Amino acid sequence: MIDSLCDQVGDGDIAVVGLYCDFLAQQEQTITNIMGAILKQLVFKGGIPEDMREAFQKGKGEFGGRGPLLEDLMRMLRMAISSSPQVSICIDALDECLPKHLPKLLKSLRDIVQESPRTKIFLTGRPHVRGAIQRYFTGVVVIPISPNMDDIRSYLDMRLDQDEDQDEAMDNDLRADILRTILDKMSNM
Amino acid sequence: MLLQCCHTSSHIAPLFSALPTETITPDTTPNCSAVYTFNQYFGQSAMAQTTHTHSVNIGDNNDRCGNITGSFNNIFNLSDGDAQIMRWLSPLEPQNRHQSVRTDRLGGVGDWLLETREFREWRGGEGGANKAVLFCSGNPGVGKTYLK
Repeated sequence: MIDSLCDQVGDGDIAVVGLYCDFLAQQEQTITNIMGAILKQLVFKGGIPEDMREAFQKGKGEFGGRGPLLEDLMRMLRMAISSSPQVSICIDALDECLPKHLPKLLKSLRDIVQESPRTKIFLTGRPHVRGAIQRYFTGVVVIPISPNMDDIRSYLDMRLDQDEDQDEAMDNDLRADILRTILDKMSNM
Repeated sequence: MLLQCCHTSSHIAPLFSALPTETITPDTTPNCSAVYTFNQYFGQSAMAQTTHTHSVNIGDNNDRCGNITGSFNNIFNLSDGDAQIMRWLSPLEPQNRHQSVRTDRLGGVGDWLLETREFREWRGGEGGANKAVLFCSGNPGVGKTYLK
């Protein structure tokens, strides 16, 4: 999705930023780290602003090095977003975010949208996070993603073509058998 | 990598031009297309800028897709101080995961989504607090991450 949005941008006026939530990295995917990662991608665009340097120097000097506070990050994020005509934020696998982080994340995203209404947010996740999203964005548009048989067929074709362990046993019948069996199972998902 | 390219980053531009062609192995082929896209977007003026090049290897805890291709994926063309500020902002490096996803992705997969009315309206709409969010909902393994 990030690539599609980037491809459609073309003129460089629109920034697309993204993040993959990951249950293996839940502990470090705190709200500050997530917002920091989004901000970091935006900062690549215009260079590091002076107030960010100051905040960094200030944080470095406190308690032997203190990380940014959420309110600092949100302030810098607002500035970075306002200097771009449009920002799209893509976050994958919201359900893999720790439940205690999710409401804060959604609230922060809502704050961003309220502050900068042109901002667009693209989220993916398992169906059960829909309710949480709707609590913060009542007008959320939902697209159900189900296995797309054409996509799966082309993927299987590619994998079978690339299979290095192929021997004489593989022929068109076996290939058709494999495709049919897997597609049958997928259609029941 | 394209993720960063979209950000008109003059910081990483010299990285591409400075990258010796012999380091582009077959494994990094997808990155080559990113370079072309980058040039196409931002042209030679950005490429002409030079800044101090510094390699920073950053641990990536946001990657479970195994091998990350390309030697310059973990290299940021930042001064020491700027790299420190980036680390300070967040230890997360989503572009690493993004690169492995786009490398593993099969062309055309998920294109149907781009044609849906919902996506088009979200993409072309005015946004605003109520229409800002598009949520792709699906069970594990249906391919949400790999939508292009």
